[in-house]
Amino acid sequence: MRYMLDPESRQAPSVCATHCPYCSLQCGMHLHSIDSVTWTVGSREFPTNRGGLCQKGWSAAELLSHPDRLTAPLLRERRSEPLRRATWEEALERVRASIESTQQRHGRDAVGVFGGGSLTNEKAYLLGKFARVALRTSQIDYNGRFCMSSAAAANLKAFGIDRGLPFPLSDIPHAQTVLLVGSNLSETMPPVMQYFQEQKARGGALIVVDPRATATSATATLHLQITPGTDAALANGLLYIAMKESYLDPDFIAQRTQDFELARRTASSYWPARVERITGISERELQRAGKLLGEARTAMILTSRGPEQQSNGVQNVLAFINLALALGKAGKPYCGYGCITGQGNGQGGREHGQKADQLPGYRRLDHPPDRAHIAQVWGIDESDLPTPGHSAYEMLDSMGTEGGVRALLVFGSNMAISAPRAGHIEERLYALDFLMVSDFFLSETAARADVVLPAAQWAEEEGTMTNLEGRVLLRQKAAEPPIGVRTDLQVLAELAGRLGCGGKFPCEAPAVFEELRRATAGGAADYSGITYERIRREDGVFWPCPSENHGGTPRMFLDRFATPDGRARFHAAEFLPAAEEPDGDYPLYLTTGRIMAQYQSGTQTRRLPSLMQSAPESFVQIHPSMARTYGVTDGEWVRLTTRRGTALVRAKLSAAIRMDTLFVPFHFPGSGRANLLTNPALDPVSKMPEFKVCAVRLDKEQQC
Amino acid sequence: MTENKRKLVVIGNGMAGARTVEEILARGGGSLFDITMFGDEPTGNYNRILLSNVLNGSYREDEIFLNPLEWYRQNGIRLLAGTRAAGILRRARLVYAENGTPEPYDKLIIATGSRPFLPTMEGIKMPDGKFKPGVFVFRTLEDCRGIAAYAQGKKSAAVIGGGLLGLEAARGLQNFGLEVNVVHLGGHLMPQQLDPSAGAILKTSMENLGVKVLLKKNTTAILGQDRVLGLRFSDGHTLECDMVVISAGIKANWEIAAGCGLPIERGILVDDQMRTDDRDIYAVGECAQHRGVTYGLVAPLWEQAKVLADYITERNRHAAYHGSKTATKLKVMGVEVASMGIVEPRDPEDEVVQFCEPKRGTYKKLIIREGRLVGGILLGDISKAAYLMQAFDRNTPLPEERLQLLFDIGDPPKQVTFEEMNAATQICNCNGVSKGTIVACVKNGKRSGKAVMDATRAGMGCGSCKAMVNDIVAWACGGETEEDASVHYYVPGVPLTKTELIRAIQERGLRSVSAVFDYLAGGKEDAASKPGLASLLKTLWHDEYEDELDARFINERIHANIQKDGTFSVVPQIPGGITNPAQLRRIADVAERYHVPLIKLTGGQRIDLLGLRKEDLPNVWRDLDMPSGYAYGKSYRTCKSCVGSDFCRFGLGDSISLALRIEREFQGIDSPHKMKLATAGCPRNCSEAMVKDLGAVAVEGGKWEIYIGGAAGSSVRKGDVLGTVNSENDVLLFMGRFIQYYRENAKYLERTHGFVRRLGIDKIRAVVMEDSEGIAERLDREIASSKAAYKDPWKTAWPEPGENRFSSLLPVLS
Amino acid sequence: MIPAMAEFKLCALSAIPPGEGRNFAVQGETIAVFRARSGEVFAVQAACPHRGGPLADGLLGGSTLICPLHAWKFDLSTGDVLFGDCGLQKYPVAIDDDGQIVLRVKA
Repeated sequence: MRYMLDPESRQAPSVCATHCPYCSLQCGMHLHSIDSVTWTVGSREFPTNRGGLCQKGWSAAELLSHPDRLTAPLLRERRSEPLRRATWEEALERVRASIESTQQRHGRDAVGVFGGGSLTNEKAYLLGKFARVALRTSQIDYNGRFCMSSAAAANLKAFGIDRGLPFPLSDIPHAQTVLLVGSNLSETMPPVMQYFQEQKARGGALIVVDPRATATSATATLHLQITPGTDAALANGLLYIAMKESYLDPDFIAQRTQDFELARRTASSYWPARVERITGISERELQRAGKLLGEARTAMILTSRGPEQQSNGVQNVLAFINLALALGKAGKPYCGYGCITGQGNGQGGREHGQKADQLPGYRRLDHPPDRAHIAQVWGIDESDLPTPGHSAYEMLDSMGTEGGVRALLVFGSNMAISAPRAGHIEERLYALDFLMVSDFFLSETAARADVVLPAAQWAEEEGTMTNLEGRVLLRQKAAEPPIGVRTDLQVLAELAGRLGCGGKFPCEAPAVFEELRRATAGGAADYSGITYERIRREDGVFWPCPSENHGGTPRMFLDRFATPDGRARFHAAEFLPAAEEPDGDYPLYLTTGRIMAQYQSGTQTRRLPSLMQSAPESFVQIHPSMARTYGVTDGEWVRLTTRRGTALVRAKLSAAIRMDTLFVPFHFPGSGRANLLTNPALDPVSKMPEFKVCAVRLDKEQQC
Repeated sequence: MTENKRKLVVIGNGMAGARTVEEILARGGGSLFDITMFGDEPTGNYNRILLSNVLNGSYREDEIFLNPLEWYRQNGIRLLAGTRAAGILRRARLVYAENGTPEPYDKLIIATGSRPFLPTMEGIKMPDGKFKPGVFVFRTLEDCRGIAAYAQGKKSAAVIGGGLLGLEAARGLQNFGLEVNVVHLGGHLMPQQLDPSAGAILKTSMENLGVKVLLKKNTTAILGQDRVLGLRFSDGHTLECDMVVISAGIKANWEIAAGCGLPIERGILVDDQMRTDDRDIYAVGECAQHRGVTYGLVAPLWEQAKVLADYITERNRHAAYHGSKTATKLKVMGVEVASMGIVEPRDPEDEVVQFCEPKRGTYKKLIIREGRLVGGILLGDISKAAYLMQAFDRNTPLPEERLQLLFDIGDPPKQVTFEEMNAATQICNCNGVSKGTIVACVKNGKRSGKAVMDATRAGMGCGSCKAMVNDIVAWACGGETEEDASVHYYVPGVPLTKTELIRAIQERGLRSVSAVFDYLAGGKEDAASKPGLASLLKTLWHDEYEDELDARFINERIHANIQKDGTFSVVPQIPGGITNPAQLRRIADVAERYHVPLIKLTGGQRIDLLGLRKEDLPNVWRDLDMPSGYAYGKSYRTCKSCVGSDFCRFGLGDSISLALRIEREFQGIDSPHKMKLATAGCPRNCSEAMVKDLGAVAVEGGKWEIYIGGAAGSSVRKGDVLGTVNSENDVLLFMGRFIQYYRENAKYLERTHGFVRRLGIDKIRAVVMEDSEGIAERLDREIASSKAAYKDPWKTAWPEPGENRFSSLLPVLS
Repeated sequence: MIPAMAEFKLCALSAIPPGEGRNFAVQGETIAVFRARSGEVFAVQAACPHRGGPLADGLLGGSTLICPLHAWKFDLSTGDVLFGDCGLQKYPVAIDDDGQIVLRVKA
């Protein structure tokens, strides 16, 4: 039955300046209200997107009045029963009861909280506080683990702080050479390409590293079609060439870094012939790339999920950071290493306490002074703060097991699709005693829940986001949520109240942000100088911003790095083969990723006809020659099998991919789910699962 | 907790020994073991693979060190450098050095590596057991230094052994300017890596490069009493040479193991955990023999080191070494060689794919078993090596087109073709238009780039995607976009593209517009085409151009700018906006004398006198006594400038002097459309140089950034950087070259921004900055002659007596 | 009955360069006279019907004339407009035996 929106409930301003709901570019957009229930997206000049928007952005307004919107809580008494509509009272009472009984029977840590990188800073903050103050559990983490955690860890090791880009996007055109590793921006973040076009127009060079030829690599000066999982070998190989051709910057190394010897010794056994054999990139191309980087006056190295989503992800990123440092291309104007964050608030989401080991403002849960500060802000006894808990995959893997999480509260995440080895995670979800999901659509995960809470959407509530540049920006409210829908902030405050912590939890975004400012004051990610008013006035403010008369920090590290002694650190970043390499049984590489018309687990994008029409179903990209070897033709159904599971997808023949590699997008549900196949091997430091490479077998599927 | 650490002794600190210790440390072995290492060589561990590069001078010695001495200190390793381990007492569990000092162990790793094999022949050594002066092996840094030193001033050298290392030694020796002979016992070179045919081709290639190769030669003696004078062979022949490098293969150093009774064959026998049959003694690297194989390459010993480390640190008790796939890739005197696995088929089922082109020194051979690569040889052309070696290493299934394995056919394109491009792929980022939308739009009948852009908003933003939109439209129309051929004509009245037209004009020597119509348009005049042709002819013929005023737009006939009421405006030349009192006085006088209704400062930093009568123009020129500013022409207009470095506190470069030089250089140059220029003394761009047809912006370090294709008129566009140059002269050179290229290639009335977008900055940069088409010199010549042909019209275009060009009304006779 | 016509000798053909035009004042009217490169001579009203542009300063190709102000286009042999929305007043003109341009207008 189609739910009709109540016209009365929506008095929206005729036009509202806000931001796109999707990726970390957070393009500015205008929402024009056509009538009380329909909106259209209009272009808005904003520093990140300069008026441009991609297909997802243009169609975003369709989400607001989508017939699938959840507008009442759903619950079921028994797993056997279907979900039924319920009152908020019923639903919240059920949640409270389940939390209390679970914690009584199995202890506080038996209740887990799972957040997401698309939640506003206010939500991320309040969620972390809710877990530690209201639930007093150590078990909280978020899907950002599956996104930026490797780069985050590497950034901390090398620079002492983790901000995706240490410079504004507008610096990119001034870099003579940009090395873009494992990123397909033309499809995943189209408007950002303006900066690369400008960079090219100014005579700059763009090197793209990707196992696939993509719309992005098509614009590149040089495309290095790397073997999946060999990024560290490439980085060390380029450093080797830099050493050999004396492209290094000895003064920079001497004055602003530590431990170059570690990097030098590691790199010295990556001579071109060897690197060619590992990466499949010819010596000639390696030399050319080395020259482009080495001779550039200004250069940037940007990584994305490609090198990061690997069991060697942190080392991979560190190897590229070594390269940037050795060339003296960091902590200077128009130079630097940067990570292209993925999710809308992937940056802010990892700064304010959603992470198992973190407190707001990048404070650390295992660092007494940090604990003390936060305890004081939260008005609790420091000893009541839990200790660091398990990381995302570990927590999900423990669900329903002895000593594991027995009840899980999920906010804005769809692990049934996005977690690695999703088939297994699905089983774990069933094993839970209790599952609560807050979302605005009935996602694959929500469909398995005992209680589903209908949440407000991006344009229906105020809140701040921190984009890939570290620019804190304000999503203004364009519309009232439909009747029956509540914001996550309201839900958290309400639940906290029922759990006996009433009063500690403001439920209005501005109030939460004020508290967040105090909590982050003096921390690494210091927001204390940022106000909604400033954000409106200044088109966003870059953290750290310690006081209201501080201008914010668009460019970091110009004088010193954020390490105790102000020097950046080199590391011995060895190449390690992927946890699973092709062999006789599983002879090909499998890599996964995103495509233009879909976003993450597709909860939003798969509901929009315009987008589904461009990208209707899952597929596997395979090289025509390899397809012929297997007797597979274009559009035919094939069965992909790994040691984790099997997926059915259509073959899409394309010479744009390496002959030994298959690519499957991860947005799609059911039997086409890429993550039925992926390998949960974790990076020892960041706990990032190895989404980007595993060994796979391909068989023709007979009837389908 | 040192006390309960176990003692780990490693004999040998070569690549195997040191690497194994590194791997052990990487697995936390530092807290498990006290580590002591014996090393023959007094130095740290260096990369033997690169020795030949040291010999041939492409590496410095210090560049090849993997573990300098401080590394051992940092990691708390006792390195007994230069101390040879003499023996092992297994029962006592200790190793003793040559000087007798004992070194107890709990675990022992033998990594003694190998040494050069010396064939039996007379005269290798002197009575004292040392090598005869001039005799060398090629194994250590010491050997390298020795060879390099001895080679000084010598004429010829012989290398005994035509294997990989031997040939590398030969390369090194040749670099010292010696005449080199390679003496090889077997029937073909590099028997480990090549088959006879490949060996034969390599031999020829090497001989072409001046290295003599003697095959099937068994050296029986090294001649010379106290130093090398030559070689004698079993067939009785001799060869004169001043030095000899023996590289006849390697021999595992197993003696110390044999001495304590460990089983030996060609090397020390080890199991899959690299253990000898003594559970506490391991062997790794070239001294070890695993499953009947000893390895002389680096990759295998690193794999062995990993396994050994996993096992000994108990990080992984199941770690097992299953042997290595060996492959080599090297350049022997410019000849590229890649080889992997077996060189001859072994199994009757083995499939052999072969390509042989001896003349070009190219040879390719692959051995395929069950659809997988088990062996291969590439000689001369190794472009496929990267792919093949990976397919070999990883056992990847091979494509059925075997041809693809040998040649770059159907390799992944570096660009996605439009067919492959996902329909959802964003073409226009600004307006979010996908390839699919554009194709659909074409299907709905919009069959020209412009029509599609109007309909979809594609390219209407930053415009950077316009070229691509056009390409996609062309592709979607199957190449048949509906724009009639005439859009490609230079002018509508002459059915030729600009290139064709230029060729025709030059072939026929047509110097006037009427001539062009007569010869190229069937005598049919076309009014609209005249100015375009006139401009082109002037560009081509300079002062040989036969001017016909009727072909010129009125402005160029009378060198003033016609106004809406039929009066004219006059703009004298004021280069760079620099003027002086005298000029200003003259201008003021003229304005009064001829009742100029409006005096206006122009955007080009000049002074415009508007509303003059045609009749008065010549007198105005005379009274102004200033050159024409060409404010009316399809030509170089002016070059504005900022204050530059003289007065401005930000100025980096002298924008004024450059502007003056530019004006002198290009004044009056005709072009397809007007050209407005500017120079800016710093990137603050006060003079708006970045949005001019051509602009020069001073940047740090006395350099100038040259911008082209900027526009700030009806369309607004920031110019593209043509390049950054070091001097004003270079600015003039490259600007001139671009202007001439623009004059020759732009459509008439195509501004530079359209031109630059149409051709693409990359293309233009290649032509102008890198001379990719080899026409730079000609372009420079042409623009120079245009400059030479410049005449100030206000001095030269005065009316002849009786001429009525400037009369707006003629008297009637009767 | 035939209206009375007056004849005016304007100038020698050579006074107008090939392909150009000149203005003459005849009976208080200004008339533009053109000498095409083909040798033909045309006479039309001097001011463009569009914004009064000086047609004599226009570009002439064959018998097609383009106004210098906004590029309206006329066929001088007929007076028809080719681009624009209004034609030209045309006058009969000829070259007499001693090479003078002769124009006829109503008396």
